[in-house]
Amino acid sequence: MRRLALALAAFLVPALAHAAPSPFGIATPDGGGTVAWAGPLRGFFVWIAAEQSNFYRALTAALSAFADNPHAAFILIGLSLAYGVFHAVGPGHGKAVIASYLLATGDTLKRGIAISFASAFVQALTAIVVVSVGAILLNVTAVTMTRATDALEIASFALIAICGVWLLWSKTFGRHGDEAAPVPHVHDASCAINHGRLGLSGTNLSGSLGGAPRLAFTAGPAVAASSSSFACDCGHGHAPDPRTLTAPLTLKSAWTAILAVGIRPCSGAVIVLVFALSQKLWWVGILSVLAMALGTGVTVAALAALAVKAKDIALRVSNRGDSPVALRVIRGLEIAAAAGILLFGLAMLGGALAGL
Amino acid sequence: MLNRFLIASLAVIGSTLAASAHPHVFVDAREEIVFDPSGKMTAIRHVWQFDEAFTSFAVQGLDANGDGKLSDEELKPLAKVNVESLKEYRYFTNLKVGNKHIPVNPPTEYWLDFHSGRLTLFYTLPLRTPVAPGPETTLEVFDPEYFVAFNFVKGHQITLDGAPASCTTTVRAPHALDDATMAQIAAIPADQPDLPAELADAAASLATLISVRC
Repeated sequence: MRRLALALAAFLVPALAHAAPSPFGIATPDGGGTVAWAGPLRGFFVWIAAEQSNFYRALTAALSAFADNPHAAFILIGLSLAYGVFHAVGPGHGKAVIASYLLATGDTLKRGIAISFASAFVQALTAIVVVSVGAILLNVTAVTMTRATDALEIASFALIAICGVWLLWSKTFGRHGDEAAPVPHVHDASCAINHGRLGLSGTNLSGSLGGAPRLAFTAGPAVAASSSSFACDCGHGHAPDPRTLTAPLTLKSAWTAILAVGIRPCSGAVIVLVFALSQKLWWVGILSVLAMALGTGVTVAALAALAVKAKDIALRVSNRGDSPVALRVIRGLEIAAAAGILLFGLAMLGGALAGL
Repeated sequence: MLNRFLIASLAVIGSTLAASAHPHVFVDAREEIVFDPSGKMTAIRHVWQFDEAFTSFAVQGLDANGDGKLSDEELKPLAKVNVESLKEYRYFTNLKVGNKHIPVNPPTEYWLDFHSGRLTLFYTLPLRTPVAPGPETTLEVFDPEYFVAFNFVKGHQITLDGAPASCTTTVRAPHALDDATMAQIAAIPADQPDLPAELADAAASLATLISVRC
């Protein structure tokens, strides 16, 4: 188990970056990172890079020619959608967090997809809010707006770390609960986890909204274990439990992850919005950014599906074998994924704060 | 099975962490190398014109007096921020004589010009010490992280200012790297803006290579 955790850590660490400074002092690079045109996927990434670049340029060209082109709206929305899809194939710790989150929680495919789209739209929304407040309301400079997005980035890292903490918390205690449980069956195990997490995330949510904390901080081993006995969303790629579809908590429990990913606006979206504003095409810009979010959501959802499926297959196979060792390894992986999120959040946060 | 799960998981996470190109700044660049009367190179002059979208973002809120124009005074603070921020990226500039990297000093002369919706950054990088061009001098202007995409204005890629009459220039388009070097570059942490010299050289082959022969 420790070896797995170490492997994961070793895998994550080279990719860690502090809040990348901006080469021109305005517009911070998204994700920040090294060149990925290496290894077997190199051709693919080079192609993606070229496509991103092409779509982005076509997109801004479509914006600037908007007034002269009768089909401009369709072209622009199409390009934005395509740009969103390609843009999201590239870097982004957000996607890493979502994938790790899904690996750690064992959320259903439906929830994974919902979380992916929600985070993409939250990200579009933060870009719209940043530009609305920054450019329209206060008419601040690009330098100030960049500082605001950098601050949001730090908030995002903090949220990632928090997400990691409570995932790890519920994993660790869920495991104890599991050992105490009479039948160490895989579904019970993940339900215990889910419930520990649901309780905690409820606390996070209401706490962050200034409401009274709910039951959860008392959610030690006992609560996590006992809560597994009532209604749970142990769908895991079987037909989704109808209760999870009706439960208002379906998305709420994932809000920390969604916010962590979406709270930092993408530089591209901010630039496109300011550009649209300068062309007196504010609403067109918003439409474009929303279409981008839809495209981004598609890619992230595909990735999320991959994460959920990979885990689902492993779970099913280990369940068929009914081997407690396999079960423990899976659980260990979940813990490793949670630890990975925490480690990642802390490293990014540390780097960003050190760079201030 | 578990191994496959582990590999699949790592692949999923890895593919998201593998940061690839994300260009949001498109620069049409013109480069100049300045020579002194003795035929030594003394400075590099960059003329970088930004794309319309990045320009609109860059000039946001700068029209302080609201006259619809951008005066030198209004653009000055941004130019300062630009060149100061570029320092950490080594100005995306790699001038070499033979195989030796030539160090530069921070620019003292810089300004922004706003014309037909596009911003142009002019700045001069003085060489720390004037250097004779030698048999093979190369200049690369390139962002290995590809946040900034440099395109060189055809016919104006490189100008030699005050160079001996014998000097000629060539411009070579980027060519691909071998996989091993690519992997090495990819393994460098993102918080390390400076690539190790030998990798910077390799990465530069993804850049347009400007050569000067005197």
